[in-house]
Amino acid sequence: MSRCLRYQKPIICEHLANQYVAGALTHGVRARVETLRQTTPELDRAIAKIADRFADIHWRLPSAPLSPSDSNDLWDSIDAQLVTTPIPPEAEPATVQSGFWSSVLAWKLTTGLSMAMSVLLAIFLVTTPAISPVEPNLVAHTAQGPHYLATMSAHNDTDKAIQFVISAYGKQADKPSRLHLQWSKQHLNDEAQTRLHLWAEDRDTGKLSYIGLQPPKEQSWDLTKTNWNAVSNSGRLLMTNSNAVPTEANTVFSGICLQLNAWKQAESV
Amino acid sequence: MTDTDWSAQIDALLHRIHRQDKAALKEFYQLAGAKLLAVLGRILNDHHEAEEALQELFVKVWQQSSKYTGSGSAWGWVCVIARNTAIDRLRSAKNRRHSSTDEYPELLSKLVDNTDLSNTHWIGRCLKQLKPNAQRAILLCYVNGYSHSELSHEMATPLGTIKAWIRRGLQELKQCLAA
Repeated sequence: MSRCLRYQKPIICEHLANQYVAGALTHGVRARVETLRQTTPELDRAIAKIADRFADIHWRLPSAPLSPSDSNDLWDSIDAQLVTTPIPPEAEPATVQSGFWSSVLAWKLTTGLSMAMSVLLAIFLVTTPAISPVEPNLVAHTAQGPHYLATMSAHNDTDKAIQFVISAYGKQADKPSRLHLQWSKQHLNDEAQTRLHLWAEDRDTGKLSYIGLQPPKEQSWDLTKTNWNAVSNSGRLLMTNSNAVPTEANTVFSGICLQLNAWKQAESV
Repeated sequence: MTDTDWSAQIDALLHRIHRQDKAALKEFYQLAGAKLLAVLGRILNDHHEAEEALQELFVKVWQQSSKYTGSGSAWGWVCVIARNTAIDRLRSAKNRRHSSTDEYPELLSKLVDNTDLSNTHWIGRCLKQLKPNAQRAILLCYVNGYSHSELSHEMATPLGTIKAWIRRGLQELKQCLAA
């Protein structure tokens, strides 16, 4: 789960920055780092510093031979693609001062996402339907509130509209750690008809851990200690339509995670 | 044009690109296109592939200019995107193409032998002070896009040793540049 304080530590920033600039990260982890650097100035500065060091090398090495005609042809190809390729919303110009426009935009996005998640959490807590007899323990869990919350969107949805949330509840004295999945009212009709497989992507290493197949609705989704640790260390959850490792093809939903409550090791399974 | 002037011009152009100034993108291409093609070519080792990657890169710069936070130089930011674009292409290619490590001595000589020792911020000065193995591993990684496991294979050295060389080498570079 996201703990931005972790990425303020110089050693972690530097290690991650070196890996990022070297191109050693997997695609998913790289995307995570790019998101993090928008909201973590320490990480952003570390990456920029290392990038500049090695960019100096690239500047001093010889340029590629490029004849004027080849250069013009290449530019024409680029120009043609600019016309046909739509600009993502986040690429639209910000109305802030030079040097600050991106950080303000990042804060706006972060604030908007946090507000959306707070509203969703409120909706979830207020509109939780009557607990069925098979989930008596969820009442106690709900009263405590979830430890973690993941907002899930269709994986290929560029707008990242939140369709459902996955709440993770820590172990209680007599109750195991468990997950609870709840669809938003607007997307109740989109609820998957088949049970999906859940994966947790480690926030630091990008390693994917298989949590398991979504149980039937009437059953609770209890977690082993290993799976709880995987969920609590994740930066992202993914749901796939098969138990194969997540790919662009088989991933149906994905979403980032937030830690909501202070997590105590003593409460783990 | 000095590297400082060139870098300042790149910074200014990216700022204009962020405001969707296509003329700025063309100027950026004219100023940095050949250098970026070389960055891509040193990783992909295939001119046609590098040209394809260059097109992809400029579309990314156009679309993602808002992600440049202003930390560091625009040239540094673009170089990272360029390298990632090339590495993604390598990863998806069936047959990975790499420059022969036999070209490494020439690469090193271009950087190290003509080092301006008076320029305390020039990384080449510090690279010269590294042990040969660390020097080679770092350059092949950061310039030619070799992954650690590829370096392990090319240099016939255990992966852990490669990582240790690079880690220590980067630490020494950092200390040297800070001195």
